[in-house]
Amino acid sequence: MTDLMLLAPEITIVVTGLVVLLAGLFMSTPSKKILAYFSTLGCIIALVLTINSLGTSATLFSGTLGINALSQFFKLVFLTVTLLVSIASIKYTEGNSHTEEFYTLVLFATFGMMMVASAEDLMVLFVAFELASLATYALAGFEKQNPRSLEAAMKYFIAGALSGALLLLGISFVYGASGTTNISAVAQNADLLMSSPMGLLSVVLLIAGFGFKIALVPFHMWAPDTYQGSPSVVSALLAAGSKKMGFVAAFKVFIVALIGLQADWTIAFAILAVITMTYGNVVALSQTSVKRMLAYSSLAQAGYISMAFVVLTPMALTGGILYALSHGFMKAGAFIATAAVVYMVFKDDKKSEIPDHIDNFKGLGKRMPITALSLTIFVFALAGIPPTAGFVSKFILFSSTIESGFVWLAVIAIINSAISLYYYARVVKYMYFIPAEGERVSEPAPYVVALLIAVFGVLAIGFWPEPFVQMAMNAADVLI
Amino acid sequence: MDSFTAIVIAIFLPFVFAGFLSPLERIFKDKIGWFAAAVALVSFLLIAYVAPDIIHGEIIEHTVSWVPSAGISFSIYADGLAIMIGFIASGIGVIIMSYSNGYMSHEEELTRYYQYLLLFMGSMIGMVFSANTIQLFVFWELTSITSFMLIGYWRHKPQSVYGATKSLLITAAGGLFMLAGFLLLRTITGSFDLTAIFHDPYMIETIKGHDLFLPILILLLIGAAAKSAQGPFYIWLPNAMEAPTPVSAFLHSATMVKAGIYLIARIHPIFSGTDAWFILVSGIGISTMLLAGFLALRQTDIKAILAYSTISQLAYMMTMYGYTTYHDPGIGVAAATFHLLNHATFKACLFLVAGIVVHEAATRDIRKLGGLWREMPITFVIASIAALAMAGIPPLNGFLSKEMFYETSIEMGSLLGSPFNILIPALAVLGGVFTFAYSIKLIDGIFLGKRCDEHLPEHIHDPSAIMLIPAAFLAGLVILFGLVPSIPIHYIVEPTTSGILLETVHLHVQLWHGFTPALMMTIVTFIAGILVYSRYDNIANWQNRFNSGYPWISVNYYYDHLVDNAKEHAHRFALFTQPGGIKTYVNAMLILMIVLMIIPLFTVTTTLIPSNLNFEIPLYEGLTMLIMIVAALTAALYHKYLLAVIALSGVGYMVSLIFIYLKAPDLALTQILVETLSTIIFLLVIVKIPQTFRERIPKTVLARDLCIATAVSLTILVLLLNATQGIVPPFESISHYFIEKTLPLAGGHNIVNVIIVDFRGYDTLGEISVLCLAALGVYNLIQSREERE
Repeated sequence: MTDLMLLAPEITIVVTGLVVLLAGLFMSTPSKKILAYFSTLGCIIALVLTINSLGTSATLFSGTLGINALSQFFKLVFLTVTLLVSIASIKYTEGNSHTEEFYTLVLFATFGMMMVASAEDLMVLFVAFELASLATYALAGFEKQNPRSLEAAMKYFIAGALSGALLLLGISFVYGASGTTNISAVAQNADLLMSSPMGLLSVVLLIAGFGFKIALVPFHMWAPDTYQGSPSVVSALLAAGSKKMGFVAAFKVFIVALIGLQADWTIAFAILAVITMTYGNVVALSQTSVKRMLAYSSLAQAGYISMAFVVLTPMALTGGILYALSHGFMKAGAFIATAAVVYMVFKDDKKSEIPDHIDNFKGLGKRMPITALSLTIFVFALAGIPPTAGFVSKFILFSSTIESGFVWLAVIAIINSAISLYYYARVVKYMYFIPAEGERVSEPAPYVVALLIAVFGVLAIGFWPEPFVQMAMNAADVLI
Repeated sequence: MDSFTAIVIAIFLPFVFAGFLSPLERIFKDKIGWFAAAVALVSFLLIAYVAPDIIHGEIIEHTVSWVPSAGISFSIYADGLAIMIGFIASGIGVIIMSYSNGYMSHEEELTRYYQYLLLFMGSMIGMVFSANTIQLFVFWELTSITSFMLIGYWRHKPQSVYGATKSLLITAAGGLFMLAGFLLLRTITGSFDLTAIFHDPYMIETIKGHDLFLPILILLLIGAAAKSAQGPFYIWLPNAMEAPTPVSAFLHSATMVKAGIYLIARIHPIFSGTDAWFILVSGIGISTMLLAGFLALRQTDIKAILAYSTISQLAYMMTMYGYTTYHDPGIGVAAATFHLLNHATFKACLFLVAGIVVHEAATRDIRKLGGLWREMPITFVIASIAALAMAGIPPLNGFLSKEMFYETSIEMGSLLGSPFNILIPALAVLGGVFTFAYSIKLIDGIFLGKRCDEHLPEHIHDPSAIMLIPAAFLAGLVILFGLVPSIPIHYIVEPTTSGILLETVHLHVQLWHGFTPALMMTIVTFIAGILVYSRYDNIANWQNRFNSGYPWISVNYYYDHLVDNAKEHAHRFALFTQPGGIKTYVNAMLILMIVLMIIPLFTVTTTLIPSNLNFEIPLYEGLTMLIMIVAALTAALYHKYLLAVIALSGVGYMVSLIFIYLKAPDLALTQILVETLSTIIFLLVIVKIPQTFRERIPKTVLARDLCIATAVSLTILVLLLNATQGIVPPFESISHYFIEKTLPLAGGHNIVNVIIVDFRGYDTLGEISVLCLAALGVYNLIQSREERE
């Protein structure tokens, strides 16, 4: 049974999810608030258990699941994001008769992400991937009365189903060529993959499959629509959590399993990274919906992280992995801040068409000071301005890129960062420099708590990066 | 207390108290500004505490590990240069924060204002003491952000928001270029530590000989020029004048804009002494000096005049740092340093005077001012001292450093030979002439001439002592440095120069140094300056005409177009690439996949379809396939739901037949069940909706979709054909394992049962939980339905 104890965080999450689902059946709507607190508690316990198990490494279930520095690091990312989301959602789901479904879906999605982080077998990885995807499809359409939310879910689902098919096809090619679905065994059979046209095809298919989750251009098209239409807390989960799941899966599949085909996929990732970051930053310039702007900004951020696939040195991977954690805090925080604003707008005007329009952020510094200050920190962090988590991770990633001789790539990335300053600064400009329209609004405690935790994370990594860098380094060591 | 601790406290004290300012506001109320000034004073005293050691030639170095895994440390390096800028930052900080008590009205959000000022001051001090380039960059960007916040402080004015955004975009982006330079520098040196490079002559030689030398230098200079408003990057500074005037005095004349000059001085030991250094640094310097000086003549806003003059004066320093390649570096560096110090005194003083004028006369337009000397005699005297120092009139400090500038220009010119021996001094004099003209304009326009009664309030008087004393103090320094130059030279300029050049330097500067060629140039400057001043309005008018005639000859024109157009083009691009329909998204993905799959196939095999295909298709299989195709076509083409659904399920049943042919009866059974179930569900839904549907699909769309569908199916066909080729599974079937082990390991005779409950126990458990979940879901559905009813 010691084996099962290694999965204690996952079990906690699943059990919490089931208990919430079950308990919700017998509770009246107003008392369902307890479920939100209960889920939050479950996340905290799982988080503590994960932190506790940071040093361990083991394989379970005949080598299909692995516990190591990489898996635990990403579980940490997922659990923090889920924690932030579930705290913020206490307010969002208040008075909603579907509270238990919301939390169960969030927890199941998290469980799926955690299993992806641990998966050592392509089939387990795919199933876990789909578990997380299915739960998030439903979450995106959680506001059943809101056509935008439904549109978001529909687009996400259709594009997701297509990419899921591509992913599975890719996995079956890998299996067909190498005769195994075990990730490390695939790496040992690299010569079989390289000698067969199936190898190259599977690379293409897998990039498309993961590229959808990561939202690499041109597989990104669902992302802006979905992030904008979904409830903001769900967008936080999608951008900060589910996107990282795509990364950890891609890290494992490409860098471990398909390392033999490195020459092919590094070129692909180099092109995709450049296109993605440039496209994301350029298109973000003109957005008037803040959530849509954040969606394009996460395209750009995904482009930066993808540089790790190109450089492929331990330090670059450290940067990429640390970026995943930092981005988790920054993006989840930014979306939760937006959620607080949307909440405020709806209080005034139930019929608001685009509640996250940048005009609603005017004078936010006066109206919602904590939200405004936190959002300022998040967007500056996203822009990579020191001393924030965004700067540290960007710095490690870019400097290792330059050190490995990819000066052109780093220069493109830095120019991109400079472009991105414009639209990030615009949000700050609206919040602080443009006079407020409306009175001061009391900020709901759950949002404030979630925001402060995220701010703490962003600044902690910014001011004292060493322990986090070490953790990311250990995680990177698992890959190379 | 050791020096290191003192410096660290000097840096972080402002940060800490900036954080505590909000709660402290309750105690201090509107006296909070005095408290902030006291914090600045403590920082100043702490730097003063360290200063004597530095003046005696010591250098304080201390490193604390910060992010060792990335090679970043928190390193303090205190030499003369750092101490001088540290002094200016904290000293002027004290003056500005005291002055603000009189300037800022009590209705303003004072806490926010002083918070930003303290944060800025801490960042500036932190920057100059940084030995680690990354630490330097961190503080550098912090100064950009606080400057952004302060320029936009008066949020109700659109111009200040424009100015704030512009300054952030240019300075912070410039900072990123600097970072790129530092990162590249590290690829050569392997260290982020600047001091490690200084103390290693061999390393400096390596850098100078390296291919990356020029790219690094250019990147760092872009950062410096953006921050110090040099070259084409000057455009942000005039717009930054929308900040409250004390902020302009502090950030945009005395300290923050000196950061770029500081960077040039800091990297001087590494990069100087090369042609590239001279051409780039002096080239940017001379051109900016002339351009900004000339443009200053056109300005009517007194703060704009001061802004252009700041740009031009900073360019003097750039120019002199660039000269060191050829002649004795001691003179150029010392002259630049002395001028930096002098400029901080007289320009900050002029800004404070501008603040007083705005405060009392309520306008900054020089055309509406005039004749104020009668009403504001003390302000007039202070302003005259500072402006005359800027014009280079003896015995004020500006005269001395300008003389030194002329001296270095003459020497530089003569070293380069004809025609530079005339050209360089001539350009220097021209810069001086512009400076002289606008300096006189400031005094003449504000204090002398006729009072424009219709634009001015009736009673104007000297301000309160709170605002007068800081300005008077700075004017006092202007005179002191001019009359007794040995004080600043000995205590500030010499240590600074030694810090920059890494060797001990002794300088002799006297107020009267005989009839030197430099003095002749000064006299020429004065005469030409008076001539230019007599034609002042003509020049300004000519510039206005030129500007309206050729609006595209201006950097601002391009900046505005770039920013505006970027947004517009990005908007159109976004609409084009993201039209919104899910069909477009799926089409894009499919087309891309086809292309991406065909390319690798072509690279691996020349023929798409393998030549050695060997299929034996029995008649019944072929027939099944044919029925499947017909059924699929029926489903796609018929306009009745019922028929379409039945045809679709027909496809499914045929698939289950194929499973049976392939000897997989369990799979076939499942398939039949699923098909039946989904057909029933479909039928149940169809009852509720109209029975027929008729879509109007344009021919072009139909053709496009047909092409894509055909292409996708062809690609899949090719893939499958290829996939069946020559893959020999490198493993054996596991069925033997189960047959052998079922009885000995699990003690069961029914292999299937054993597999389900034993070998794959976890699978079964998982399946059971899935069923439970499904049951829960159904129960929940029913429950929520009751609730709704």
